[in-house]
Amino acid sequence: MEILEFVLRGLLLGVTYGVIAIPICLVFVSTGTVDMAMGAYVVLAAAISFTLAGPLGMAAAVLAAIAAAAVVGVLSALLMRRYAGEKMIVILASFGFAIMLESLVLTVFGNNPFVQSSGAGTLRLAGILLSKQSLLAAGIGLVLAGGVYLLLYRSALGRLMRAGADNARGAAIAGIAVGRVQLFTFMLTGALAGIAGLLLLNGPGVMFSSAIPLTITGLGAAIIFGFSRPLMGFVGGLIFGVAESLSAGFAPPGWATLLPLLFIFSVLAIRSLRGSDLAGGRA
Amino acid sequence: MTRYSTFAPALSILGLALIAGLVVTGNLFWVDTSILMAIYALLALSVGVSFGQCGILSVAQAAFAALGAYATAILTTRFGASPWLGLAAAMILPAAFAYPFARLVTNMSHLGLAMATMLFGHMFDIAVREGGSFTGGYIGISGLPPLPVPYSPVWHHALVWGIVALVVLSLSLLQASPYGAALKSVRTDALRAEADGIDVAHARSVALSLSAAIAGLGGWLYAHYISYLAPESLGASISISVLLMAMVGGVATIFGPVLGAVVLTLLSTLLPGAESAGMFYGGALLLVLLIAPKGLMSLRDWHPLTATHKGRSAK
Repeated sequence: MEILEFVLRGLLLGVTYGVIAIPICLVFVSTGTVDMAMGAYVVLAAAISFTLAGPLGMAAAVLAAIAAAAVVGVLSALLMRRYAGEKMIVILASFGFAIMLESLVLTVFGNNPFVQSSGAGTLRLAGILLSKQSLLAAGIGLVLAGGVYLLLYRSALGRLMRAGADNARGAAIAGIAVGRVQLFTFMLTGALAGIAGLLLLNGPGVMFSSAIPLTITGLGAAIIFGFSRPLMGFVGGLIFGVAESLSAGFAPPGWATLLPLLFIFSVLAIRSLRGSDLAGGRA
Repeated sequence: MTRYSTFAPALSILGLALIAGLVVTGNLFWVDTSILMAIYALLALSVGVSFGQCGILSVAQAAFAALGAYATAILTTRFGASPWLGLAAAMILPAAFAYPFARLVTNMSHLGLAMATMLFGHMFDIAVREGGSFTGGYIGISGLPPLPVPYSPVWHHALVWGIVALVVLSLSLLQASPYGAALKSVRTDALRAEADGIDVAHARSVALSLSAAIAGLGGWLYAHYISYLAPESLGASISISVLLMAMVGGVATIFGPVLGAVVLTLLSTLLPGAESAGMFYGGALLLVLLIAPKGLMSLRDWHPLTATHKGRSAK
């Protein structure tokens, strides 16, 4: 019974990680790189929504995250052209941008944690006490994952995105504006990261320094099933959440934060030793 | 490679450090800044060895430095060992740790390596915080003995920059040696290196091990200079800062990381507000990537980052 409670809490926690893992996978499938600033968009959105309360703040938060992601989109397009597709440079540049954003948040919004309570009460589900807020967050996360699925696999735009990801040159020859589709993908990832920021703000909260750890968590979640399938990234987020919750419940304190990282590290190391490319593609 | 070009980087560092020492002497703030600059330069040099010379992107250099720093801190404060013994431990322990670590991860792609080293850095950070009385936990370890030279700013300044010059000299000699050529071939074309009979995994692991030893040396200087060590002293953000320093200066050259450390440290010292330092660091990196791709030291005619892609037409 106790285990069930931890698993359930882990799933609710993992939804947010999943919402961060989806855009990481999306960037990977459409450009073959990783946007290390993803966690920074999450924090930026949370900080803005925390400062500007209400729906206006939420809209501004998501818009800011989209704008920040678009900057990285444009930057990576410029860099990809300049370095003839050298992906490491793009990853490093997004790293640099993450540091800029983190420092921007610290300078403008300060080093207090960004957290607010929505005032929603708690709910008893099969003897387990859960906050309504986390259930709402889980619902939003599931809806987002479903939306991404519909967009990618059931819409014309999604087909363009997948075509550009699969074979950029071929797609360009077929008349697809790959650059524009990729920029759209980046903005979409910004929107998802922004919403994740709102979920975290109304849940466990974030700080300016959470940006890189959130990126690591998202990357970890995305790695479990390989980077190439966004929806499996979401599932990876759920698994990561459960792993974190279980180790928080049963491992000695201190190990709780260490074990999920160790888990991801072992996944990486085992794949590397077996000789398969961990990322599910060249990076 | 001529004799002169092998010794040039180390000699120019010695000369510049001497001039800088004469200029800042008497002004404690600038002596302090210059010493920290030298320590960052060592960490940036360690990035240069792993990433620039051998193509291993490590985002855990500060963790290797912290490993060395904690080794010497624990030895000298708990067991009363001399800082010289601490120095040996601070270099050997990270190197000994990095070798098997590298064997585990060097098969990975660049991205995988970056991830794995980043995870290692975070795990190390957590382990230090949860280390209880052994690592001092969140409070850290204080009361480390000072650096084993006469206790004066001038001596400290001379020691740290002297060590930087020594490391630069060793790296220049390494690069000019047959083993350096082997490392270079591993970086530019691993398949070709394998065909030439170089044990690629071993060579990469040795490079990371060497890089960790240099980082550990930086950690040793840091610990004994500040005489206090806490989890955030050499935390994950330092790993990122020194990576950016190396990139901005020019990671493929030997002198580049030192230059990057000097420029970025000066930038963050001269510009007001520690909070906004990250904006300048990140901005400098983006500008360098867009404008001067090979870093500020773009005098060399080759570049490992563009040289690693193969089977692709340029543009």
